[in-house]
Amino acid sequence: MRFFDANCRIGQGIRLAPGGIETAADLLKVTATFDIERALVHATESRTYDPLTGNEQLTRRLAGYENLEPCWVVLAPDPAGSHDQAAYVEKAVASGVRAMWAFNGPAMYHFPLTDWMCGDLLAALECHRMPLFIEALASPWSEVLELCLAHPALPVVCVRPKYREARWVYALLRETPNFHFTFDFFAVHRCIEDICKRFGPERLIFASDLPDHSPAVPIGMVTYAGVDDESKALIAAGNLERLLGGVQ
Amino acid sequence: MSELFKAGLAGRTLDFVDVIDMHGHYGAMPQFNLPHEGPGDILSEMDRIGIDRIIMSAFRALATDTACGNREMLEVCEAHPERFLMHFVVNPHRAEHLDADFAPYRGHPLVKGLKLHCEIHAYPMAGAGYTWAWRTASETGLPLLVHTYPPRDMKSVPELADEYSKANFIMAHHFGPENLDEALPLIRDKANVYTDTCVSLLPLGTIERLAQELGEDRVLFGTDMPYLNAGGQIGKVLLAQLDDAAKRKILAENSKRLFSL
Repeated sequence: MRFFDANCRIGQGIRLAPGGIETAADLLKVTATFDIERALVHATESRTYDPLTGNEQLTRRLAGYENLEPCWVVLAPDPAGSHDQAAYVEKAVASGVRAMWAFNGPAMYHFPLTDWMCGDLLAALECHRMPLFIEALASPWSEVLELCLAHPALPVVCVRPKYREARWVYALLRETPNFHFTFDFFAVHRCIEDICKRFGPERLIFASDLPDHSPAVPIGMVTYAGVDDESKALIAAGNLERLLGGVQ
Repeated sequence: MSELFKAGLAGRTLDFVDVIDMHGHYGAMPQFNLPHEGPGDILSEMDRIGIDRIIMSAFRALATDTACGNREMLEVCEAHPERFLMHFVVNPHRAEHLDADFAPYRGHPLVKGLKLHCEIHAYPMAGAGYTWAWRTASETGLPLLVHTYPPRDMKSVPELADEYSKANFIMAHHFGPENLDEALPLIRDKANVYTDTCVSLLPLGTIERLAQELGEDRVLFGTDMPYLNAGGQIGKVLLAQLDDAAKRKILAENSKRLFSL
C-alpha cells in the first residue's frame, strides 16, 4: 500500500529531535523503513521561532528531495502591519507550495482563525483551495466549525484530535464537508470503519507526526481496518493527493 | 524485512503466529464515543487481525458496580471460552467485601488476572485497600494488571514489587510513554514487574526501548480494545525494529508463560 504522510517536520528545536532526526536525509531514512512513499514536511523553526525564517530554510533543505513536499507555515497577524498574510499565501503558491500550516494555539502564535482577525489570509487560502493544517485544540471547536462554514472551499485538515474529542469530530464531519482530520491520535476502536460507514473514507488523512511519534500506529490502523482496499488507498494517500491536487 | 514486519504493512491476518491480547475490556463506555457492539464486534476484530485469545475486564466493573461487572465479564467469557478470558476487577473502596466477592472466581479456569485501575478508582496504588490484591496475587499466582497512567503512583512500584516478590505486576501503558525516562530506572531490576504495549501515544522507538531496557521477556502485547484501536496496537509491535523472535515473545509467549495459557 502507498502511504503519503501528511505531517512530518525537520529542523532544529530547542531539544534534539527524537532519534536525532533533523534533516531531510534523516527523515527519509525513517519513512523508507516504514515504506512511506511521500511526506508533507514543515520546518520546526517555522513552528517554534519564525515562519519567514523557517519556510525559507525548509525550501532550501528539501531541494532535490522529490518525495518530501514543503508545507509552509502561515504568518501570524501583525498589528504593526509590517507583513501581509494574504500576500504571503501568494508567494507560497508562486513557490509551488500546496499546503500551509497555522500554528495559532496559545502556546504558539496565539491568534484566532476568524475573519475578524485574519480574514484576508483565510480568503487567500480559500481562493487557492490551499489545504490549511491546524492543530486540534489550538482553537475552540466552535471556532473550527465557523472557519469551515465561513470558507466552504477551504480544505481544513485538523491534526491529531484525540480520541476523547470524538463527539466534536463526528459533529464537524456531519456539519462541514471541508473538515478533514488525521487519525494518528484518534486511535479508537473501529474508528476507521465507523467513520467510513457514516461519512465515507474521504475525510481521513494519514499522518505520523514524525519524528515525535512513530508511524506504526496509524499504519496498523489503515492496513488492519475492516474496510475495502479502495477506501484504504484513499486514506493512506489518495485523500491527501486529492487535496493537494486541488490547489489553484 | 522480517515476516512479521511485512505482515503489518500488508494488514495480513496473523494466522501463522500465536497472538494473546492480555489487556482488553468489555462492554459499552458511553463516556467516549466508542462504536462498540458487543462480543461479536470484539471477535470480528480478533479474527481479522489474528488474535487468538483476549483477557478482558468489564468497563462496568471499573466504572460503577464492580460485582455486577465482574459477573457480566465471566458470563461473556463462559459463552466464548476458547477466545475470552478475564481479569477480576479489584475495587479498593470495597476491600472488606473482596474475599467474598472473589470466592466464585477463585480457581476458575477463565479467570487469569486481577485488574487494578488507580485512576478511575481514584485510589493510591500503595493504599491499604489494595493489600488484598497484592496478597491474593502472591497466593494464587494471578498476575496484577495495574493501570499506571497518569503515573502518579510510579514511585510506589519498586517497594511493592519487593514486598510482594511472589506477585507479578504488569504496569499497563508502561506509565505513559512520555514518562519512560523516569519510569524505566524504577523497574529495570525488578524481575516481577512487566509492562504491556497498549497506549494511545507512541513516541518513535518506544517498543524498542522497552524491549532493550526491560528485556523482551517482560513486554506483553495488549490492545485495550474496545477502547483503543486494535489495528494500531498490533501495528506498533509488528512494525517495531525488533527481530521476529522478540516479537513472538511479546505477541504471545510472554503472556502464555505469565498467565499459564
